[in-house]
Amino acid sequence: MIFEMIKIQNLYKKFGGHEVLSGLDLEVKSGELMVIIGPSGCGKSVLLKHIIGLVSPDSGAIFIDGIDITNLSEAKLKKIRFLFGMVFQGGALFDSLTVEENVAFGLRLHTDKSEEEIRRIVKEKLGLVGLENIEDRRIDELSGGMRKRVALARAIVMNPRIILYDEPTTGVDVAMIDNVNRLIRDLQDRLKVTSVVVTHDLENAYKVADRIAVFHSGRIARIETVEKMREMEEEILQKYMGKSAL
Amino acid sequence: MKEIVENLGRQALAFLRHLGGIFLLFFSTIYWTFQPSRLKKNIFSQMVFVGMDSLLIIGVTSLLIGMVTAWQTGIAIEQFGAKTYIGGIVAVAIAREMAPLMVGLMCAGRVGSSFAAEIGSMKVNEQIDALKTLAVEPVQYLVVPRFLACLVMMPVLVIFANVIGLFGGWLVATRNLGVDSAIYINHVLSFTKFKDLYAGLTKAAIYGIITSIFSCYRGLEVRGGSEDISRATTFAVVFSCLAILVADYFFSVLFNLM
Repeated sequence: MIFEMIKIQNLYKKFGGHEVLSGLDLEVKSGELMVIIGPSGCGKSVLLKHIIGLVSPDSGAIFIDGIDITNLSEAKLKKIRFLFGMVFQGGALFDSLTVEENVAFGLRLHTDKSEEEIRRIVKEKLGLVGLENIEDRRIDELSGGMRKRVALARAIVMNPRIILYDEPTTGVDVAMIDNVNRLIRDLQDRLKVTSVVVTHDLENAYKVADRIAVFHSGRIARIETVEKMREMEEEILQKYMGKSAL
Repeated sequence: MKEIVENLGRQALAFLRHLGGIFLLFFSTIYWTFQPSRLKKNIFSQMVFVGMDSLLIIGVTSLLIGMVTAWQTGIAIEQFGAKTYIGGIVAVAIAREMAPLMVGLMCAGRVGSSFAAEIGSMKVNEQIDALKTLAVEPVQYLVVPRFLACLVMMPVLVIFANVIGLFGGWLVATRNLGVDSAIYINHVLSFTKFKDLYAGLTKAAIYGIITSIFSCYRGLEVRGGSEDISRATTFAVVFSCLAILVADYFFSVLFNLM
């Protein structure tokens, strides 16, 4: 049965005097990959941080798997976060740790698995993102694309039901962008998770999305399928993106 | 005039906000210290950083402080024919005051700046957010190991500084001031009371709390980019040193009354 894994209702958030979210509504179905597109600095990442409970809204509700997380205690929020994996814009890998230690971080802290088992899972997840034999490398020895992949491996290591991607192709070599897109789509199809990708790049959105939501003036202005979005591309770009997406 | 008052008001509010934040972090750290954790490896690595890696700088500083103290007091008391008491005076001065204060200030500089810069950099690079998404409490992962490392290792460094400082004093007393080695050691042992050692070690533990909490607090408060990291580092060192000096005065008075 398809149901809303993420449901956001009438979300408001102000920073200082600046309203970033202005009554935003959004529903993401279970097993769907939703891309949220909008110009850089418009508040897409803030929305993502609301979804995972890193930022509290001024008002409104966020339901994750049917539970409103906006008024949860930190302890309950932590349990909800086990449902999530998140890939940050810059990777946010712990640079004092090796690749293996980064990927195994959640497993070592939250499970009773043996070291042997942990190493096996780390190898498997790194394999899923197309990386092999880099377990002992330090983070500063990795390229931008490799960091994104390691961040993705860390995000999926606890088998989350929801994966959030914050600008996954930003800072990646042009030659590697398609690889990252393929990886996101491939993981979506293989793991059957619910995913939310925020990006400012419409071309990348087409390559990974099931549906595309257009973020404009603190709200979701439209939600369309990829096919429909392609048909309306000119109109969407002019009306909401200031032609910045292409 | 209005602008001056407004500015003063803003500064006062900022000061109170920081003070409140520091106390909140302190109590939060105490709470998380007693929660079950699998992060013991972190505590050990921080203890190595605070303790082992500070040995050389503390050793050199203590040696020089011991030598200077012996030299200055030796010359001063020689006029009264009390030169032989130099061992006792150096021992009490170092154990009660010099060693804990020097360890506190050196660690505020070396360790505090590093804590603030490292945590601030993690904040800027979203690593603190990443910790939260991995259901890890940043205070437990980042602050508790640093807090415990300072709390335990700074008194250990004070013991080390006491020994090296006394050795520095012995060098000057016996080589330059002509005091007999046995008399120097005898006076060190007879003048130094358990209370002196206890006072020095307690002060060092308190300076450890100040250094770790102030520095971690400012690191966690970093907003924006690298510019604020440098501000955080300066804040951590300056305010840790200031707080240590204020605490030193009050605890010196308190231990003398006891």
